[in-house]
Amino acid sequence: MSFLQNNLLTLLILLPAAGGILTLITKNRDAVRWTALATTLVTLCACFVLLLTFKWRPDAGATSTYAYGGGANAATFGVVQMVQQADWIPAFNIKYRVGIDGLSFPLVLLTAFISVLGVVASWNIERMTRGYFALFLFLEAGLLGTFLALDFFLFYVFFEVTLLPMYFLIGIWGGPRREYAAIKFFIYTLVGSIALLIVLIGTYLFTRDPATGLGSFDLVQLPGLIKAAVARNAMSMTAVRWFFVLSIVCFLIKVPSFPFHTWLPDAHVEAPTPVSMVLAALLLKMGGYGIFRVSYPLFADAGRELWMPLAIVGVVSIIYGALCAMAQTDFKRLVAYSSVSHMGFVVLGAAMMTKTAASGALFMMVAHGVTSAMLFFIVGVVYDRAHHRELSRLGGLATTMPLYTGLATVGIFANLGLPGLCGFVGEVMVLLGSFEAAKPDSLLVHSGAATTHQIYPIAVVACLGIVLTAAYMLWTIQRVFLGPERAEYRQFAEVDQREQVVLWPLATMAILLGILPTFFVFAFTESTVDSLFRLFAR
Amino acid sequence: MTVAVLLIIAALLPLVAFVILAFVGKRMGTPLAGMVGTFFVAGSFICSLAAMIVWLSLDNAEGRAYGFGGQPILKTFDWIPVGKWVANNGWLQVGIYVDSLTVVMFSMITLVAALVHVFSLGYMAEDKRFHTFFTYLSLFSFSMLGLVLGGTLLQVLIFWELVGLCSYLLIGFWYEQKTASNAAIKAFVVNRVGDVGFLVGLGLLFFHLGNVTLPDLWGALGNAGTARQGQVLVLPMQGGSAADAAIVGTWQPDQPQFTRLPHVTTAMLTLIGIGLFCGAMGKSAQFPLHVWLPDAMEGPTPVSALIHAATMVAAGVYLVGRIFPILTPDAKLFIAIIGCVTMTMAALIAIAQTDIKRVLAYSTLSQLGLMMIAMGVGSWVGGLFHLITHAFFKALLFLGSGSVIYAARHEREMAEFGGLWRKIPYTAITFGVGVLAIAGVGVTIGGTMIGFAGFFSKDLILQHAGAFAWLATHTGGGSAYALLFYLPMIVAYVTAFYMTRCWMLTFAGRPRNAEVYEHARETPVMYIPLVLLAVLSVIGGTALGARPMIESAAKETNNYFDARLRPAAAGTRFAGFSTAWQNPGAYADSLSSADTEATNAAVSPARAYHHGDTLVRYAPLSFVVGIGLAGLIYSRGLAIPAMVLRVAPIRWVNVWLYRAMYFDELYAGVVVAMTLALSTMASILDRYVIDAAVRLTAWTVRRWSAVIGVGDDAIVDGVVRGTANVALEIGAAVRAPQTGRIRVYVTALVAAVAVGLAGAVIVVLSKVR
Repeated sequence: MSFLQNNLLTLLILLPAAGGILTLITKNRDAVRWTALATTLVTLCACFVLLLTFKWRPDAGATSTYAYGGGANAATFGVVQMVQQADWIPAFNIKYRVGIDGLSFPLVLLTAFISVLGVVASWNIERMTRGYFALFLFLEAGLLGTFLALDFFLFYVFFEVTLLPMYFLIGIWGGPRREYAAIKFFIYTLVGSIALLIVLIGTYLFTRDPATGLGSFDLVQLPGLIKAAVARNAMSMTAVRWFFVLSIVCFLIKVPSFPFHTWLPDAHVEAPTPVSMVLAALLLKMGGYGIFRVSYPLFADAGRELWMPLAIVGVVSIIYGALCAMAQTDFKRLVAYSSVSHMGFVVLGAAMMTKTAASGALFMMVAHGVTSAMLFFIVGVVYDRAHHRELSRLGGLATTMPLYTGLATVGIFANLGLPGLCGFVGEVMVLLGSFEAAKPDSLLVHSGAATTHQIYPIAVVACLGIVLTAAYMLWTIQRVFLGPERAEYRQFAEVDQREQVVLWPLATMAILLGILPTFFVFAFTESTVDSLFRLFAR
Repeated sequence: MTVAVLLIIAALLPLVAFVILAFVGKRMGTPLAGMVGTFFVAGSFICSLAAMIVWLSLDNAEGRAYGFGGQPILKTFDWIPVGKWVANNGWLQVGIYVDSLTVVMFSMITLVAALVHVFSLGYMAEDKRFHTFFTYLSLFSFSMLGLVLGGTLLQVLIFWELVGLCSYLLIGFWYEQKTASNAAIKAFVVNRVGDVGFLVGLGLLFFHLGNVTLPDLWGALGNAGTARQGQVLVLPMQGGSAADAAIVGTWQPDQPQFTRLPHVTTAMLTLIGIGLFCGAMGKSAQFPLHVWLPDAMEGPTPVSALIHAATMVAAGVYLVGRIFPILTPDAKLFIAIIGCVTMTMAALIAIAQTDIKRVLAYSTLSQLGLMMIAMGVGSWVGGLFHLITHAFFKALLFLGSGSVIYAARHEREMAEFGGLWRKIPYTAITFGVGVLAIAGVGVTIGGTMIGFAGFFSKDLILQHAGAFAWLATHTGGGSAYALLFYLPMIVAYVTAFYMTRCWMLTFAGRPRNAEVYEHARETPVMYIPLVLLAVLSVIGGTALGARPMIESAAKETNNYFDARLRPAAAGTRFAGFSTAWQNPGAYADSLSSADTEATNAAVSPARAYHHGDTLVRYAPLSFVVGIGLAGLIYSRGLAIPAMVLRVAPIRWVNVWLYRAMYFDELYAGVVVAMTLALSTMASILDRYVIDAAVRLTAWTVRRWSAVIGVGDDAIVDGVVRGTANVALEIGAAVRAPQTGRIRVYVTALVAAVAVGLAGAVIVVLSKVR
């Protein structure tokens, strides 16, 4: 048991990878599919085992700190747990180091959960099944690795590793313009990665210990080391600012935020349904996660100074994404733009630097993971039957496919932020947190980086996003589901059992997350967010 | 606590019905699904009734006990952790708050809902989605009860949106028709516009208080009603010192004691009040967000009765009632003006409508406006009292119109009716009772008031409005304030007129459409609810005890403060629900009068009240004049109006009113068109500017890399090269000839160039140090 405990996180990354290799050596198509499904299910179960050993909150009297767990000091509670490390490239102090905390845990669970559904959604892939599922599982391994890595270098490697399977999944199994979309996705995000590479190398150089000459890639220690470097004038604030901007640009491309978002609609439109699900639900989250794992902890001071550009990027994404979504005629493109709009809340939540907004942003990532996967699958269901996604040619499906309409309505309303469903909690927390940021004792105002009167307008404009979201989402429902039944769609089959296997869990999660947000997300994030803000305020 | 448990059960029963119907409703079919829904909501009504009986009988001799005239119940649950500040415990909470108002609202909502369910059993019997209808109705009942039970503003917001969802689903119930789905979208989106205000208000409150339970809210900001412009309210802090607690209250900004404590200015409070009221404007369809309600008549008529007349649209008034103590005089004035505009405008439009449901819709708007005026002039009791009585007679009128429409086979134009009283007498008589109730028929004989339900509540509002107007004009506000009394007064005449017109055109005279007349009939399942509602519309003002209950609610809140929050300063700090005209000074400031102090002495609340009482004696004339005039003009069907409309200017006005003053055209032409234009622009920008820039960059880099070519290999970073190799290997592994290997090479090359650049930057950076 203790072996399992000590190596659980590593196992978690290796499981899907091993499954991927296994699928490559499996001969027949059925075996491939079942192997893939079994692999994702085992991974999901392994995540549940994690729950048993995870320590949720500090003991009474202890304060949570952003540090490794355990240790002799009972007064502090290191939120990063189950750490496993080994030397990798000693010459540059690069380690294999994985661990888990409140930032990563919900996303790890989300990854395992969506991957299972993704495999089910991929069940009918005809072409090169083996390669497809192998890549799919490698992608899951890469994602889990990204969320679990605590060494900057390792994080970067995993961050890049996910690009390749995604590139091929779009480029080979995609739609008519798949090559263009895949290469656009690849190069665009690669450019972002270069920015991150600069940060990676830069932080290492600046944090070199004068005695040993070794820098650090340790994501948990780096905040302190960078502060120390700034304190002893080894690193200028200008460098900190640049690093913050570079890392943020990298993650904003991934999120994606205005104006770096144009790869997303193309990628989504060409990607097959399950790949779209994973892309929207999980890959985008690497961006949001990076903001919280790298940009803010490492360069918090710069983040405080540069809150306004980032908040404006967030708000513009919310409004602009919604406006663009409204103008789309392709169902899938519309959903893609709605992702831009919703992920804007994550960026805004990060920029405002309040606990409420940050928790809201973290919740929004999980909520969007569920709803976007659901919406893309919903689009896929229509596409499978109608073989087109033109909103103007759809309509009347509510009469033809009532169950499908019911489940789709849950997904769409969850996406537009109806209370009781998951989208609401994230949105309202980010918005309330934005107002909270205007308080005299908030991190931004207290430090003099912002004034109350700068924050209010941004918060109010963000609130306007909910009107636009409601408008385009309801308009979509009208165009796809409402209206008289159409003759050409009358023979459409109701969602079959396989499709229900995907939709029901998503719908259930959308409801459960909306009603019990603390149980499913905030219980994980609370102490970690607490520790992060203790770090920011220091 | 029995009461709380009973009310929670009452709220949850419809949810159970919803879940059952959602999953097996289709299998149940007609009429079983409807009966299940009706059964559960009837159970809900019985629980509410039981709760009311227990509440009324609770012994509150000790002063601490819950119950009528005693103390309210507040029970909160931690929902989302947000961290501690000012007045919260570190959590966003949801919870229940029960006082007499909650209890009386529960009984009203469940009663009307139950009757509407019964009526729908008949009305919807032939619909193919019968079970779906009852599924939605059950969800609505649950949401509405949850809203009324809400102990925190956050919970109110949650259920606020849920009732909006039900409204959306039910307006668009006949979604095959484009008009229905359009109306549904319009309702939801217009409400969302209001909700932006709600969110902003909530955000500002959250900013100041941290958590927003209703008593916390009143405890912290309850002095707003008496605050003068420019003053500062210091907020009570959880765990603050005794010295801090001592200076909680209202201060002038030049007294610096408060600066180290959380505080809020009256200007900010006004903003918060108006923000929250924006939410109410959406839900209660106040000008300028009123446009969705007339369109909402696309939904089945029972829905119009329950949601768009009796309960949901009144939620805005309910919300204003709950936040009443934190409204500053300016915010209240804003509310009164909006209410006044809505009321007057809607009453005028109602005169010219020919669709029976649209007449009722505009009449609802008008009555909601009146309730808002009541809130604005400080008649807390009057506004909520009218909410209850209006629910009865407006549900009656709508269900009556439903009965007519059912009888007339979905014909809604009054021009096609006429003489129907012979065919559907129960409907005609009960509808007539509804007309008398909304017209406020009643007389005061020797201090005893005798009349229909509407008489009592409308009279109370007019009385308070009169007192307010008199007080405001006499404290230097100018004569414009008198409009807040005279307009409601005039509109009372207009209301009596257009409602009588509606009755005359439908039931009296000769049949104008023989076919409609021939087939008209009514059934017991539909007219029994009508009869019950008619009885309620007669006795609702007196026998049901709605008014004492509401008055008691205000008292209960005060008790709560005296006992729990500020025992030391019992009765001194909390302005609470006392009517604004008892605090003339509060208005004097906002009226910017020079000689306020001098006039204050002569202007006492008692005199104002007396004055309002005198003014209101003209009100009874309204129903005599209004009903008489309409009876006369429409005595011969449409003959006399047709004659009048030959006069050109009257015809123009008629068309203007018939088209609802062209608000729809205005919004469609300006707001909607602008939004769509913006969205198209954004989309074009996205494709031809932002994405074009990306493509241009890519193109440039590709050309450039082709030129530099192999030379760059020298500075390729190991990581990226490895990446590229892995890419190639996997590409080979999956045997994908169509991937285009050349592209992969190009990718690797571009990456190489970029990484080389990055390396150079790093080197430079490290030198800079």
